[in-house]
Amino acid sequence: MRISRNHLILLVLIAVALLAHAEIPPAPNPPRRVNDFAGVLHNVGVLEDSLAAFARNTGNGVVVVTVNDLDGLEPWDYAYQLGRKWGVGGSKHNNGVVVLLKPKTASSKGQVTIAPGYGLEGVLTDALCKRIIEKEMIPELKNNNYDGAVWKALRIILPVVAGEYNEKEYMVDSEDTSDMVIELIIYIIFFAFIIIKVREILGYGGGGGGGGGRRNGGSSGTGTWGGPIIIGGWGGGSSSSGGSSWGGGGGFSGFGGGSFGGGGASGSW
Amino acid sequence: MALSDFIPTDGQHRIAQAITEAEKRTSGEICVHVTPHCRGAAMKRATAAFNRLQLYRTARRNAVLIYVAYLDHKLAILGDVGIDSRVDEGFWDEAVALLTQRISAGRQVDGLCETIALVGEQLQSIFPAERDDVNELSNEVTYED
Repeated sequence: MRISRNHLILLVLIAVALLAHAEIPPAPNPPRRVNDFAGVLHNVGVLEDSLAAFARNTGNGVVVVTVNDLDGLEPWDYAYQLGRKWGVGGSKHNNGVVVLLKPKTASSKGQVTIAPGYGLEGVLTDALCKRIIEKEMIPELKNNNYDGAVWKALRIILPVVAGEYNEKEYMVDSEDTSDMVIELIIYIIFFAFIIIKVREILGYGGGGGGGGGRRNGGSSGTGTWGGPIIIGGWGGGSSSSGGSSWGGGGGFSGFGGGSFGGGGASGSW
Repeated sequence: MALSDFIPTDGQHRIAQAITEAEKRTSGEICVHVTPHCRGAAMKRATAAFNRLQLYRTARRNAVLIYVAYLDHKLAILGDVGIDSRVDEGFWDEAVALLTQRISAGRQVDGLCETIALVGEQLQSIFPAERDDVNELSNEVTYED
């Protein structure tokens, strides 16, 4: 009884998987890395050559796909299903990336996603992909510059995938100065607050009456711009980006070093 | 001279097989990277290739790269920190001498296969195969044009 029910569930799952797969276009033959089904890219040849050379040199498969219709799927779902169906990056290492673009039409909004294979989730994290989309792609897409959006995204994705650049560096490089100013101001206010508190605790407050007044001011200040809330904001932000930079691989903890540390010998003939 | 003149397709296949064979007995990983040119010191360029190919992505940091620049006639053999700290002294020189000798004699595919076997033996003595060993890095020859 139990076995047959399990079989039934399995069959349903397979059926669902087959149905879901049915809408994704088949892998191009001969294989192509740039598949502009929506016809929005102009310099496809150069892009194709660049991605082919990148795959030869690093073994990482990056494909760019544009489609007019996501068949009702979420962009990331479509991209992952396509990556799986086409075998982007190979099934052994899953070191592929699908950059998927659905152009804006009169009746539907434009959509874009960057989907790394399992083997690259550790370097191309969700947070990093989101940032690349927001900072590199969306501004170009707003001007209907699809080529620009793809090139600007690849300018970050390729070196990250090749291990020459990382999430942390990009997060710093792409930081808005306006954000930094705001952050700096928050830091200053926060530390000023701490210094005031410490001085109060240490009794630098001066006379009794004055001290009392300042203490009241201090506590109302806590309520207004919420010390703990600010701490929460920073802590959450930094720890989530830090955690996710190696989040992809539970078993990959040994990769921490991130570059060659050994030795060897060389010769010539 | 193109890559296929230096290592014909069936040679690439033999090399991949030699790697698979050698890795059966060890949890270590062996990679072969072939490039036409090598500007400057082979060790330096090989280290750059090692990093670019992300060969440090092994749980035990025990990948070995055999790097050959066939037009500039340079080669390097290097092991990541997990193995370099534990190989016999002079091992890398021994492996380089073997491969250099074979390539000079025009037997690059034989030489690469023999060198892979030699490195495999060394890896085996330090990192014997684990029961649940996974092939962490591709066994195919990687190359640049």
